Parts: sequence; C-alpha cells; structure tokens
Amino acid sequence: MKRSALIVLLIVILVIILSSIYFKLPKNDSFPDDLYCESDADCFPASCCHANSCVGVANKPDCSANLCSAVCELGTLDCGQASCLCVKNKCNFVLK
Amino acid sequence: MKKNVIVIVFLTFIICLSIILTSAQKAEVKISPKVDKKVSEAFVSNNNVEVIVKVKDEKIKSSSLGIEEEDVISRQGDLLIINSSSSDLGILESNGNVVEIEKSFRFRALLQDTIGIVNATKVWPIRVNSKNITGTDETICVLDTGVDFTHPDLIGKNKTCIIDCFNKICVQNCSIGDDNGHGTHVAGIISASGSILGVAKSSNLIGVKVLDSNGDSSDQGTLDIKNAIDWCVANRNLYNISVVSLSLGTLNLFSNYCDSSFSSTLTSVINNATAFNISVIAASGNSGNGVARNTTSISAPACITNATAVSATNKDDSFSSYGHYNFLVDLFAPGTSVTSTYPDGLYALASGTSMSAPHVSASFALIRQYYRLKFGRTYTPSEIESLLRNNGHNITASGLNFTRIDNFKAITSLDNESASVALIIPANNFINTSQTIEFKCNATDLSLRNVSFFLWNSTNSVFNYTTSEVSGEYNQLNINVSNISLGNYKWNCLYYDWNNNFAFAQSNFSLTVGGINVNLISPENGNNTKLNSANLSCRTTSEENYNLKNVTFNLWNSSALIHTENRSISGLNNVSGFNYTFTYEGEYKWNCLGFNNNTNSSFATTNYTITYDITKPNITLISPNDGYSATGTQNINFEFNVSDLRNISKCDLILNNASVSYGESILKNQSNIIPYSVSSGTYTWGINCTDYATNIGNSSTRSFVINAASVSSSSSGGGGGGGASSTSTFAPGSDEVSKGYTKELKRNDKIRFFDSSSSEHTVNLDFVGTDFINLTIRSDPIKLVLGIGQSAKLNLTSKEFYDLFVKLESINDKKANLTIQTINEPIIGPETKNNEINENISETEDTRNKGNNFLIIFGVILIFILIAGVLIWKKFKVGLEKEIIKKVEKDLKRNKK
Repeated sequence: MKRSALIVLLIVILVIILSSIYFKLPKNDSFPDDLYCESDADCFPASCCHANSCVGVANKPDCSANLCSAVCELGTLDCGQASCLCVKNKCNFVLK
Repeated sequence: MKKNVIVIVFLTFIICLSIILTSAQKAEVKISPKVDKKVSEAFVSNNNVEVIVKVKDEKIKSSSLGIEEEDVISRQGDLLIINSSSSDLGILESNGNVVEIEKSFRFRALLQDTIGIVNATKVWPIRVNSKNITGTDETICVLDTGVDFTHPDLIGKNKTCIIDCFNKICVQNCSIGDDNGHGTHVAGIISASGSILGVAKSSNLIGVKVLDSNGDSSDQGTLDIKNAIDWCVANRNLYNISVVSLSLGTLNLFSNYCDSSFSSTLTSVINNATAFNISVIAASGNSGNGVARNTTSISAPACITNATAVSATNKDDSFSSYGHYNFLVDLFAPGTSVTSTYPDGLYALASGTSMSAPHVSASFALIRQYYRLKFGRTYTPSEIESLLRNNGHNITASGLNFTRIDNFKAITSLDNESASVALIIPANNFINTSQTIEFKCNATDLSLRNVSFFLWNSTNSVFNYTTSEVSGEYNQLNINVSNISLGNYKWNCLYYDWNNNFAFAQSNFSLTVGGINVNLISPENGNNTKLNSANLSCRTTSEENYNLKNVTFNLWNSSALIHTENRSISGLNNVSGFNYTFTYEGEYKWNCLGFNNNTNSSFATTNYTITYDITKPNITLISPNDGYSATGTQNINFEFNVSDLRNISKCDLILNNASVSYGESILKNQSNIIPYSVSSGTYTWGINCTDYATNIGNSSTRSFVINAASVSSSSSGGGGGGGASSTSTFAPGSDEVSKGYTKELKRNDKIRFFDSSSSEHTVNLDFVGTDFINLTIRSDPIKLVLGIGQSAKLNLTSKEFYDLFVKLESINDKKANLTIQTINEPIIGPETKNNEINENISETEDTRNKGNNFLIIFGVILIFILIAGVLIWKKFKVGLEKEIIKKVEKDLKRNKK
C-alpha cells in the first residue's frame, strides 16, 4: 500500500508538472487563411489607418479613398513602430 | 482504505499546489530596487499594469526580455511600454538587461516646450494698439475627429458646436465631441489656455468632424473634406475664420504638386479658400501602415499648390524619423512628443506631422492678427507663408533648404520703426559738482534688443560707452559713471530692436561737471511749526577751482516771493543759516541760490516747504452721550469729530483726566473712534488731539456710569460665538515654513504661505477621514490624498525642483496634524516623478508580505506533517493489526493443542 500511495503521489505531481508546461508553451494552433503568406511582401496592414494587426494579401483593405489622421499612434504600424512580417507562413504584426 | 489514502494525498496536493501558486504570484509583486513602488501598488487592484521598462541599451530587443511580444505596447529608444502581468514583472525584474521599471501614466501634463521653440511665448507680450499678439479675434477651423470643448483648457474656445461633415453634408451637432482624441490634441496646440497654452492662446476654434473614432476618414473622405472647407469658407465672416488646419493625409504619396492628380475638386476648394484669404495648412504625412518614410513624396492634400504643407522636426530641430518631406513642404514645426489637451480633461503626449500642422496654423493666426492691428489690412496666405519661410530657423536636408517656423523672427521682421528714445536724468544743461553721475534713459518699441550709452567730452571723443541686452517693448537704462573729469559733456542712448532698427534720443543732452551745488539742510522738507521764528539753513559747495562768492535766501508764500536775504560767503564749502519771523499762518517755500567766482550759480534742485500753524484742533464729541449708563463691563467706542488747518498726528482718549488710549490715522472732519473697555464706575471722558505742528486741542468733557452686573443672573450671558465650526486660515512666516511648520487643522482650515520666490500658496484641508486626508494646494491646484505618516514632495513653481514637502503626522478627533516645509530639492529622473508621494506604508507592506509568506510556508509544512502523520499512523495501525492477528492465531493454536 505504501508503494501504491507513493506511485499515486508521483503520478499526481507528474500530471501537474506536465499540465503546467503544456499551458505555458505557446500554442501552435492553426491560423485562418486570411493570414497566410509566403513572404513579407504578402503581408499588409489590416486597416487603412493606425493598424495594429496584419493580414495576407488576399485580405488587403482598399485604402485608395482613405485619409488618416497624421499622428503616430502608440502600438500601431505608425511611424515605423512595427511592421507586417511573414513568419511560418503567417502574417504577423511585429513591433521593432 | 487504500482508496481513502489516494483521495487524501490527491486533495492535499491540490491544496498545496494552489497555495504555492498563489504565494508565488504574491511573492512576485514585491518591492525591489528596480521596480517603482507605484507598480507594486497598482498590482493590488489590477491583474495587468502598464509599465515603462527602461533597458540598458536601445539595441536590446524586446524579444530578449522573456515576455510575450504582444505585451509590448510600444517602444521609443531604450524605453518600452509593456502591459505586464505580475509574472511578467518577475521575469522583467530578474532580467539583467532591465534597468528600471515604473508605472506608465498614459496621460500626464508635462511642461510644454514646443511653444517656446516656435517662439510664440516671445510674441505674446508684443502689443499693438494695446492688444497682445495672442491670436485674439482669429478663428481656426480644425478638420479632424472633433474637439472636446469641455476640456478646461478649451472651454469657451468654440464659436459653434461641432460641425459634423463625416460621411454627410455638414451639419451642426451639439451632441458630439471627440471620440478619438486626435482633434482635441490638435486644438490644444493651437489655442489651449489653461494648464497648457496653445501657440495662439487667445484664438477661437471651430471643430469640424471629418475623421471617425479610429482617425480614419469615411470612404468619401475627400468629399467630406471638401464639404468641410466649403463650410468654413461660407461662414468666414460670421466667425472670423482665417485658417483651416488639416492634420490628416492620404496613404498614397505624391512626388509633385497634385492639384489634378489627387483631386481637382479639393484643389478648387482650397484655391477658393485662399482666394478669400483663408490659409489651408496640411500635414505632410507620416511613415506607417506599409508606407515607408519618404523624402521625395508627401501626402495629399498637403501636395496641393495652395495648401501650406508642413512636416515635422524634433525638439532639437533635427528632421523627424517619420514625417514625409520633399520640395513641396513649405514649413517645418515641432511634431515629436508634443503635449496637448486630450478628452475628459486629460493631457497627452503625441507625435506626428499632425502635431506640426497646428503649430503652423496657429502661427498664421498670430501673424494675421499682428498685420490686421498694425497695418489695418488682411495679410494673404501666401504673404504669411513667405514671411514665415523667410524669417525662421534654417534646416537643410537632401540638398533642400527648409525653415522651421519662428514666430518672433517673423513678426519682428515686419517692424520697420525704430525705438522712441527719451533721456531722463541728468536734465539738459545740468551742472553737477559730483564727478559720479547717474544717467537714466528709456525707450519703447515693438521689441527692443539692446541699448548703448554714450558720453562724449567737449572734443566729441567718447568718454564712456556701455552696452547691454534688453527685451520687451519698454526699457529704462540706469547707469552710474564715476571719475568724470571736470568739464563739459554731451550724452545720449542708442537703442536697437530685433529688426535692427535703431535710434538715439532726438538730441544729445549737455552736462557740466563742476560749477556750484546747493543743498537745503534744515528744517526738513514739509516741516510744520507753531513757533513764529524759524532758522533755515543751506549748504553751498563749489568745484575746487573757483571759490564761493555769495548765497541768497528766498522765501515764498503761496503766491509770491516775500523775503530775500543776501550773504557774502567764501571757500569751497559753506553752511549759512537765515532767521525768519512768521506773521501769519500758512505754507511757505524756501530755497538758496549760490554763486561762485566763475559766475556759476545754482539753486537746490527742489524748494522745501515749511508750514506755520498755531491753530489748535477743534474736537466735537459724538458718543457716548453725556450721562450715558450701562451695566457690566463694556467695550465702548468713543466717537468724535476733529477739524484743523493741518493734519492730525494723534488723538488721546482722556478718562477721568488720564490718557488711557490713543488713535492714529485720524481723519479730519470725519467720525473717528477709539475703542476702550471700562468696568463699573463713574467716569468723565474727553479727547485731546495733536496736529503736526504739535498744537493740542482739548474737547469738552462728558460723563457716564457703568453699573456693576447683577449677581443673581444665571443666564449664560452673551455666549460668545457658540460652537459654529468656523474655519481658520494660518499664515506662518516664510522662515517658519522653511524650517517645517506643523499645525493641527480641521476641515476647510487653510495654511497660507509664501515660497522662496515670494509666490503665495494655500494648503486647504478638504476632508479629514479616519486615517487619511484630502488636500488642495493652490495657486496651481494640486489635489492630494495623504494617509497618516505619508508625505509628498511637490513642485509648485518649476519642474526642475521640488519646492514643498507635505506630511500628515497624525489625525486626532477629526483634526489633522499637518506639516509643511518649503524645500529646494532637484527632481532627478523622468518627468513621471513630477509630484512624488513618499509612502511610508511601503515598509509595513513589506512586513505584511513577509508575514503572509511565513504563514504560507507554515501552512504547507503543517499539511506535510499531517500527511506524514496519517501515513505513519496507517502503517502503525496495520502493524498492530498484524501482531494482534498473530497473537490470536498463536492463542488458537495453543488452545487446539
């Protein structure tokens, strides 16, 4: 019985450690098609003004008629704070 | 039983695990030298806190800090703003690249510096037709996200409600403000007048909404802007609109004028506006959203010919890293880290050509106002643009020359009038026996720059020349020149203004050093006497080369010279006394005229007066009446009227033939009062008054009786103010406050004090809680909450140093024991430490955390002991059972045998 209790104890500890590692690890989820890219050139701002996320070329917004306030908004692509990069075939918003 | 053990072990570990995780989380929010206390405090009520992380080097990548990239909100050089959880904080704290972590306050009022850079502050004091050049009577249309006109610094600036042109025909809409903040920031740069000041701080605004809450135009943005400009032009006369400010632009860039390539409709609208002398100022656009910073192309509508295109400089006049520019850019203005107004009464720091454009818009308003007041006509947009371009700070890039605006240079360049100069003392043709002379001259101009003093001798050589920098529209030069040789001189002052116009006073003044000098000695000027005989004396001195010859005494009454007396004198220095007997009362003037052997002669610079007065003051008693009686000790106002030829120096209250009190500042021919407290008794009273000539007038006498108060009365008698909680204002001296002034205050009590620069401040106790207080410190209101033992250092007058220390010592019976002390302690570190609360509670929190940790560890140990105990007991129980079974088996075997 003593041995079995210790085994149970070890299993519980192991489960806790493994689950915590699992939850801490970055999720390698699949991502929607609108973020798909093959190179940086395939990635574009998700909105016309002060974008804080990126999309693939297929979802590039049409900004030809838009005007934006000319301010460098924090946490956006404004004024070289960040760029849209293709990482593992997914468009990412990457702060510099 | 086996099952029970498993359940117990499992539950125990779940409990242990949760305790450990909780304790680990709490332990991470601890005070460390790297982490500002405010960060730890913020985690008490928040799971995530926005922090500013300073790293060792700006080259250190945010990915190397061990936190999720998405938590990094922004970065500027070696400063990162991070949305941090408590575990992130632990990671950051232990990272060797992190130098400092402090709480990020997103909106904070900072000292404005850009209005100084564009020299608006030097323009404001300039006055034309008694009006300062601050943008008064000029209105700027701000085409943006709207404007929050309820901001304290923008109240009263709006000429209308918001004009809503977003995706519609423009309509006035009083229910909208600014749903983004951008428009309010732009408006503040132009016109704020409160805690911060705009470039044209007295100008008016019209908020026109053409951008949405994301700072994005509608899909028909160009049409919205066309409508908005049309509205401003149509209403120009109604609201005195002179400038349209556009802090917006397209993502598409244009390398040349875009009048037809962008939008001919918008071009014609802008052309129409400028034709009506309305300037259209537009931002050149920033890098971002997939558009790299461009030095060959700019955004529209800035690229339209008649728009004034504005790009951004940093505060050190370097080119910003984000603002597009090419040859189309007309002007530059500061655009990086500009503080301005933000909705909900806040202030925000923002960067972009959006911030540069309003600096220029407001500058156009200042110049228009100046020109209107000075020359009575409207300056055209192109004239103003040229003026600013030709009179600013030159900056160069890519072989192109640009101008960062300088309002002072621009406006003073319009000044073609030289200063108006006047010579004050010594007067023209003055003869001065002293060889040290004080010279005074003054000048007025639009803006003075420097002054030079000239003293020429008789051969027209410069004997003395002094120059100094001056400023403002008026200056008086005071200068002492010593060791001036005897002889004849001329002197003058030469003033330059900022546009290099210069002027002397119309003609030089002549001066003779040497000659003769007369001073009147006694009696002093304004003397009063009741004696009919007076001795009046004067001193006469001559320059060393010529002896004195004679002196003449002159005495005038109010209308004519009534007495002269001539006396021969000798030597270089003589004092002569003259006796005169007055025959009638009145005011006389007297002077002496000295002569020397060189025919120099001089009176003393001013006549002295002497008054002969023998009339006694005439006193009439008013109250109390003769025979007045009262019961109990009385405070009586003894009232009287006095008349006399001359002023009264004092009046005595005579009670039972003795002077018991007196009053000064006695008014002639008016009621005067001397208060005095008298107990029971019979009295006679009267008033004796003395005039300046020491004539004493006695009044008639009156009597009154004060009866003793009845002993049988049991009433509380008078009450004296009851328990009404009146407020008190304490006014300690500067010395007291500088040493630390402690006072027990109740709610609404005040301490009024002066700082080292003699500025008055008031500390008002707004509220007294059980263990905290609310304070307001004025003149610049600062609200403060202090707990017992907490202190705060405040910077009331400068962001450079703390100048006030406040500490709540204790609270007893709803009264706060408060200490204030004026200090002079430099503020070190980032501006986020403007007003610093030193919370002594940090130590107790530390202790509390340590206590919590101890309890947690103790709990875990206890649980493990319990588990061990259960296991041992189980083992022991099993062993015991086995022994009993063995014994029973043995007994059974023995019984069988």
